[in-house]
Amino acid sequence: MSDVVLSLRDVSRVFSTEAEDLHILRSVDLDILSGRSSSISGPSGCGKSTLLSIMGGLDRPSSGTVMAGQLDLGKATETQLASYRSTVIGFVFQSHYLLKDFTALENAMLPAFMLSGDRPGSERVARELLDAVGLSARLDHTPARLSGGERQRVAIARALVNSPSVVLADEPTGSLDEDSARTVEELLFSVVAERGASLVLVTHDPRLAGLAEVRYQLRNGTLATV
Amino acid sequence: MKGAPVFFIASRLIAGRNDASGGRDQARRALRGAVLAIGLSLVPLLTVMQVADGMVQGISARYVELGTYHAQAHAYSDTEPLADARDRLAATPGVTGAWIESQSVGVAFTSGAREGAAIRAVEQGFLDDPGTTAYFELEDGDLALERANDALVGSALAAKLGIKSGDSFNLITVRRSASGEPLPKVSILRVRGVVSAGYRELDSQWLFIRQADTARVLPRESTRSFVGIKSADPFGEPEQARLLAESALQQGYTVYSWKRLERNLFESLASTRTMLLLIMAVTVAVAAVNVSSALSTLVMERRQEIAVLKSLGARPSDLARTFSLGGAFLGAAGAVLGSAFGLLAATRINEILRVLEWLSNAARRLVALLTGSPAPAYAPLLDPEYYLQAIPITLRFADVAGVVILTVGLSFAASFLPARKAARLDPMDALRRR
Repeated sequence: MSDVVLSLRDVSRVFSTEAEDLHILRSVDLDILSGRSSSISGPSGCGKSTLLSIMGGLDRPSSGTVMAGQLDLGKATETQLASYRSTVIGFVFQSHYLLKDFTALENAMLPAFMLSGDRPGSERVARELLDAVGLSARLDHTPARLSGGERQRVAIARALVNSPSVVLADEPTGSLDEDSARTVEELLFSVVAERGASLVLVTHDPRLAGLAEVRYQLRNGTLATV
Repeated sequence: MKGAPVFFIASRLIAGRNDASGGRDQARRALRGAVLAIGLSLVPLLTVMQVADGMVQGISARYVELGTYHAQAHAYSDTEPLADARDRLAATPGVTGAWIESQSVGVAFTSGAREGAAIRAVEQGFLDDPGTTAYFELEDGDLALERANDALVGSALAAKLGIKSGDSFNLITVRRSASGEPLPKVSILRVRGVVSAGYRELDSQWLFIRQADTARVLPRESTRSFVGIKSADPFGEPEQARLLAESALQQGYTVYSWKRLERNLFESLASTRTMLLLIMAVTVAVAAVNVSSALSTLVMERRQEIAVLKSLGARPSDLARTFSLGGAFLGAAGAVLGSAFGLLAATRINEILRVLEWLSNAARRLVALLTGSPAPAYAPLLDPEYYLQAIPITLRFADVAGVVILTVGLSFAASFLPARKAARLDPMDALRRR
């Protein structure tokens, strides 16, 4: 079990409204293995993104435990969670969520700069990654001057700049045309694998889900291996 | 997060980039508005501050150099020889001048008019002193009291009496007989020069005669004499002349610094200035509220970017620092803008007043022309009879720096609420709203 980087046990997530309690996740058990790619698929609104957010320390489970090494994410402080997101996790969202006033290089280097305060060092790593995703000619472009596929490639570079153990990708190609989507998914799998990180992919696209080594299906809040 | 990335993110969020997507960027407009509001609020504050300082400095300098001296040494008794004290003081290192002066009051009159006068019997050395000549403007005749019965008359007093250099006029002083009855004494004086301190308050009273004429012209029982002392830097070291005089004279004299002698006047001027500045500072505080509002708009508009920063590892405290620093940036930008225009307005206040005066009179003439009324007489905006003829401006950059620091501090404080809002933003909620 030494290669488990993230472990979820009996995780539930309930959103309470005035009318009812919505059980989004029910007793989810999941181990993310080091260097492996996993996909979680399921229909829209089934709780895939909520599960990803819990794994990424952006949300907390209503019950159950999420362990990242010795850190229990459900009980961690905000500072511990921020540090976890900064060093262990890399996010790639459906929408690129690049900061619009920052260039491609600045967006990609930002997590490293925020962590170390070393701008030249952060830029150096970000340049290498942007080169790896084929954007070395677009370093000084703001998101407004990049295509959808290019933006998502910058987001991939940003997710990897701190050498995270786990990359969490939420519908990473969901907003792209088919050609761009293919390019981005190939890059995502190859670049993450080259850096020895685990990839957790959330998608409702069966073809994309099928590219992962381990596949899960989320239905009615319950996770099952495919 | 360390300071460098906080600074980098704050500056980029506030200043933005020209090639970033335009879209509906309400926040950027609000930020520009906040900077402009702060800048505009600072213009009157800095103008009033510098102009008030200039006027206070101008009035103070005239009183100190022409009226009170930098310090006065008064003998305990009439038997103390003032000439000895004057000579000792004049020879004291650090003292730039010491002269005997005697003061009394009288009524000056000519065939057509009469006016009360503050009579000052001074020594020629006082009139020749560079500090004196710097503030005395000779309007007519000579700045000299060489012959018996020579007099220098303040310009406003001379105007009231209708006299000029070379004219003679009468001065009545009143002595008391042994039985206490008033005994008027008339002296005939000749105008040697008409002088102006540039300040009506002083020009309407002063009548200078020779120190050597004191015994002959002034009534002994209502005359006070002292030694006036000047030193190198009366404003930088206001107590220097008093301390030098006290150490030189030791006993038999009481020495007063200029600050003590005109304490009421200076306190009054300082209080008026403080009150004006407090009122203006309220305007700056109100303008700083715009910073809060603009930053709140920025937080609302950039919720997703803030959520992304959280997902990248920013702590709530990092985001609070980022937006607080952003508020300080806005304050600094407004302060730079306001300082530039405020100082420009302050240094050109005399020209601005002249333009306003011209516009005001042009408008009055136009109204008269349109309504068929007779053309109105030219009306000065500020009657120079009652103010300094030209407002002296001395820029105090330490004060400007203080205002800039205060503005940045207020803006920093005003950013507290939006900074807290950014820190507390739920990233899940913000990202889900997409």
